[in-house]
Amino acid sequence: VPQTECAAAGKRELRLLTTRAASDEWVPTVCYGCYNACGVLARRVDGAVVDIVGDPRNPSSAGHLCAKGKARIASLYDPARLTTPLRRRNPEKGIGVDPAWEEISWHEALEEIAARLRTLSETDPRRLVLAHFDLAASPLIQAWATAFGTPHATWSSAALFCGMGSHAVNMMVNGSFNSEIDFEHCDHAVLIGTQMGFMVDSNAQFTTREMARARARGMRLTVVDPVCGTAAAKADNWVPIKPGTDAALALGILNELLNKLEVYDRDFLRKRTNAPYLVGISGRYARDPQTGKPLIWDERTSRAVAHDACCPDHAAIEGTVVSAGEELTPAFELLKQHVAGYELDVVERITDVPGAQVAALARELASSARIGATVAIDGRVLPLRPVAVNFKMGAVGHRHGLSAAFAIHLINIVLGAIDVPGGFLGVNPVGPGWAPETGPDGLLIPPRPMRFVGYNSPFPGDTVRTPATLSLKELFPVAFAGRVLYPFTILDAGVPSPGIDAEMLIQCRTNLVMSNMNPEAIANALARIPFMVSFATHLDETAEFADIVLPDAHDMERDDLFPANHPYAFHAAGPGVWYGVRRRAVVPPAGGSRPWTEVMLTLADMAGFGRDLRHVLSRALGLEQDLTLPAEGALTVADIADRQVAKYRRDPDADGPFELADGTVILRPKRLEEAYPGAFLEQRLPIYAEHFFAKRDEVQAVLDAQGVTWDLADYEPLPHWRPTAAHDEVSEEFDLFAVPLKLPFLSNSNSLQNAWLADLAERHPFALRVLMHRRAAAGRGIADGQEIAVTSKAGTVTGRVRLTEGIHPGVVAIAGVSGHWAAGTPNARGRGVHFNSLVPFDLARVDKLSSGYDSKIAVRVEPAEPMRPRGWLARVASALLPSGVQRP
Amino acid sequence: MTRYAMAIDTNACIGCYACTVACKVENASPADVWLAPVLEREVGTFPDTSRLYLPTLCHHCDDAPCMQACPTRAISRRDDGIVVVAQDVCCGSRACVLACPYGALHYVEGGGEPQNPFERLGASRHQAGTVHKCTFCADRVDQGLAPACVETCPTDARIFGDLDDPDSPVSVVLHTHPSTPMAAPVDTGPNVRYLTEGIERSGASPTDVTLQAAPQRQWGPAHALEFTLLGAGAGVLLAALLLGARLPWLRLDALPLLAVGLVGLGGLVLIGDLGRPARFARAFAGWRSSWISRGAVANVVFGLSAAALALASTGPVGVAATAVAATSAVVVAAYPGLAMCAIATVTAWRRARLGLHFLLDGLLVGVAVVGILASTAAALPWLAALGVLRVAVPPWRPWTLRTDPARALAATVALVALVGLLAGAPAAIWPAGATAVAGSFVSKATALRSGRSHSPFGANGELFVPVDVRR
Repeated sequence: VPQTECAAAGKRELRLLTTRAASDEWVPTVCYGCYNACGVLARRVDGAVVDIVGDPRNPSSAGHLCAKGKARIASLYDPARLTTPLRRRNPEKGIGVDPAWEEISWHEALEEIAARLRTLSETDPRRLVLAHFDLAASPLIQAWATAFGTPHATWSSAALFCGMGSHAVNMMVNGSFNSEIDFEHCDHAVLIGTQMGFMVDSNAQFTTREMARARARGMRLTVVDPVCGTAAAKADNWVPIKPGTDAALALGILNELLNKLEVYDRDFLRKRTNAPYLVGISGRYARDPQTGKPLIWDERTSRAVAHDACCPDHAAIEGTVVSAGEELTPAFELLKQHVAGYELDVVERITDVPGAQVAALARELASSARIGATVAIDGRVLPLRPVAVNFKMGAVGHRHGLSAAFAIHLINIVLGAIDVPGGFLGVNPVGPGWAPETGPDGLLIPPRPMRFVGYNSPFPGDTVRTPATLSLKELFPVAFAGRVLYPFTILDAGVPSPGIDAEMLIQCRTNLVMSNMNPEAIANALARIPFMVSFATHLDETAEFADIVLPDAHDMERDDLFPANHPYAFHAAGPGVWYGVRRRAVVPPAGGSRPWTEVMLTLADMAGFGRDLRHVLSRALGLEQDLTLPAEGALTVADIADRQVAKYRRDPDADGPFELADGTVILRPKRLEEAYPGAFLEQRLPIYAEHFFAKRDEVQAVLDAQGVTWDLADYEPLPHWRPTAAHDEVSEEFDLFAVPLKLPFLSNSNSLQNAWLADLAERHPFALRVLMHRRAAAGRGIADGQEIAVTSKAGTVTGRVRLTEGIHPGVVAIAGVSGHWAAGTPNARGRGVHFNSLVPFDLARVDKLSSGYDSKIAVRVEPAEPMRPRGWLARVASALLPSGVQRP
Repeated sequence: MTRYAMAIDTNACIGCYACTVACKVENASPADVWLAPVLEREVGTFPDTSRLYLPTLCHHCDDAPCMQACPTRAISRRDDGIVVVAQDVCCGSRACVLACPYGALHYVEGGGEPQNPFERLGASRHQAGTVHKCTFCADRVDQGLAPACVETCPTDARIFGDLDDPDSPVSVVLHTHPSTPMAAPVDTGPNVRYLTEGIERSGASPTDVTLQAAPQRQWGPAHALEFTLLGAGAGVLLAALLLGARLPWLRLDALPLLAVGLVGLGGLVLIGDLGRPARFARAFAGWRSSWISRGAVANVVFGLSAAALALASTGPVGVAATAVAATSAVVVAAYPGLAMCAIATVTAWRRARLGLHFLLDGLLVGVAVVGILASTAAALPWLAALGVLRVAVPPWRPWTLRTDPARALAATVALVALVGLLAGAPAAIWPAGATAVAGSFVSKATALRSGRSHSPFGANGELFVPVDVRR
């Protein structure tokens, strides 16, 4: 980009940092400090990256950049980076087992891998598993898997805990993978188990900026979280809840709203939800005998009619009617009765939140919702519901996660705060070329613009089949994916067998051992796979299990398909523009490293399915006519991205001409129907998940055939609170809950290998410590800074404690992914405490609806024996000892 | 005129460290140097708990104590108020690091070879052995750009501008919102202010916006040794004059030369401890405000006059040399204490009597050395008298054996000398003298150790100093 263009952006001018600089330019590209894909400008002087700033033209970063993004420089120039392919000489695999690496050439490595791929493809390609959490590479890798013939491209460690419940319910209700709060108009935001707006979660830069503006404007912020983290610290109201009980709180609030305050958006419920659908004694819809359509009760004529037949203004949503001799109840009435059991004292007993506080919160929400209010935007009058409840891992990262997400989301629904100004917005359920569809019963089916091959659709739910994949996604019809189940099927750990043995694993950008569930279990699963290839920037805990390790490039050394963000998942909600970002290599790969995406293209050609891959990719990416990928010959990711951009330019929906910067492509401004689709859509949203009945029966039938018993109680149309796994485990022996938490400057398991972020973590009050309440510590003879042992059913971890007033007294918390032990990550090694070592490997921890994994752990805490050395001695010790993790 | 300043919106800041890392990148700061950290304070008791985030940087004080403390005048204040360090001038005395109440100056240790292009850039911009500080990104500001921390802040919590421009963002926000400076032991006229709204919203009070003092790590044993040698040299000369002593086995009067040697040795230790020893000559430049500079001048004057005295102890030259040498000796012995005392932010050192202590310590050593070398019995009563005087000068802190063991050692010197005198045992000079030498070193070492300087980082290098705010 010419320098003048950057200068014209008005944010900063260019100047020379060194007088010797032969070249000095700003290169537009995309940050990969987390998955949010902010547009950035990287400054390259004499071939070296010396600065990264937010690209002022990018709607996400808007000229700002967070600590993680800024610190990408330290990762780029990390001396511990792997730069040579390695082959394992020690056939034994395990944690702490030396792989006995030997250096090999790229040629040798690729020949061996390609040969194995050819053999697999000739026998059973499904025996290949791909594991990654590289969202920008996802379309390419999915196409690669499809072309190769394996459905196993969904294993990754991230998102086991965090999004499984929330994504599924957001799809069902908002018609959107992610959802956000309309901070511009919101007057009261409630965050339950998420810190959205505090430089974490999706669209972090955008929501952080909007959250700050909204708070400055006077928006009230309530944060429900066992830990006083960043969000709670800034909240007007911190509600320290007992972990895993958020659903009970939500149901208690619903009881106050529906049965005490009687505040709910009748109009919205009648027209936009299945609240008026009549339900029989069986719990299923009463249906029109001819059409099979669900019936509603027309109050004017006192007759049951098909839901789409007439009179939404007169559909009964309360009371009970008798039609054709059967007693029928509107779904909303059932909801009211359902939540009536969640009286304040019950909720207080479950959640530890005082009943008066629950009632006050419900009152605040009721008054903030301003039901009936409207706002004029662009000359159109839209409903205004300046209240929203958002939720993520903290609330739904457990074995009843989908139910909890649904329970919480019901608050948004009954207040009518769905996809309208001030409320809870899907991240663009309506966009250029996509819109929700209407399902069989008039309910909203999320649009499918994402080519998330191998993933399910939560509504109306996928067909249940006999398991044929290692993810067992066939048994999770209303979930988004089944990635949690891979280790269970690989280890044959009491799950229905898909009849496939994983023969080969290709893994990249997901540290399965560190950031999945219990590391021992994952290690066993990895050790059972005969041949494993890791693309790795560092010899981390997972790469230590590989047979061949290939040095992956840093994200500033690679191109990506366009857009590197997905406009459907990682895009700012509400008004604004449609845009995509283009990641470009700023500098060539260090040493012998190569971007894994390019290597995968090469491997496809070498293994003989390059032609298929190009065909699948062309189709998946919509590259037609002259833009179709060539069947053979050299092909790079940049070539493909160029064609994608060209395709966008021709898009009839783009209303061109659009602004084309090399880093951010602005498609066009969003239309009002896209910014606030709630006011325009007609499909109904479920307050009553009737389809769960059928799905439950289908799953049950398959399980019965397999002779397997699962607890399918969560398949109920109205969500209950049920205890998490930790609630079962809490006993005299394990008397505290352990929960993870997130900090704004640490993202994934690789954050602590970044020298700068690691140094900041060291200096941070509790980034590398176990957070514990003073009161809880006093009873156990624990002093601030002391070395303590945290023990769960799964094992013991040790680390230093930070005593605080900012945590529920029955809870200890551990931030991020720390406690690394791999020698290949010297900055991260020996720092902090590994939370996942406390997570038991247990099928009972899997949410049978969402397939999410339970991250609430029952633990005990005691002073560590013997005392470990402090100060410089500790540093020497941590450098010599493998880790702070002791395994029983 | 232009007066740059920054306002910190304490409500907006979420402690995400974007500014901290942006500053690191912009300045290519060395590995463990963070010029713009964010402090964190936990406020309140459960469940009324909150956290207060306090972004920091150099406060670009109107009355910058770092400038006063610098012996080389490497630190200057530009017309627009930005305080900068001239890296080509800084000799690495670290007096400014101690003097800053906001912990804004960072001494750059000499490190290993740069590992990568970014570190090479950093190494080219930060001379090892000099002091490095926030410049409000002067290079950027000069081009009309905001400082890097301001530009990157995702919540616009750092607001920068010209106070003399009523329309600048910082002027507007400070006119419309109450604010407070960061509390400090001395008022230095800081140009960074914290909006009180967010402080109060978190449940804290403006007085909580402060740094904690931690044990100073800039001046250590090398300084104690250097101060002891200076005191000893000055003391030897003064003792020789007091006792009228000459060395019986030498024709030339060697005592002044011994004094010069000791002071010279002390000077060499001092120079060796500088970050940039080759720039020691620049340390004379700050004589107007820095006791280090004044001391350096005194050291040279002392060396010259004492040498002259050795060559010509009588006649007008001798008289003049004696007068100058004696006067400068007093300064040489006392100035380390005055240099410490001049560092206003190290409250433990704020006692002018430190200079008197150091002078008496030096005299005790000098009398002991001269007494032993010249075998003069006259030393014992002096030792006893000086020891009593050292004890009599009030301690500079509430006295305990821990806070000022040198006082106990001085008492021991006096006692041993007195016993020797009464018992007619001139050999008592040996134990008394040895104790005096030890006392002089211990006096300096404990005084130096007692100092607590201000740094955004706590004793363990953490950004969090556990301050319990209970309301």
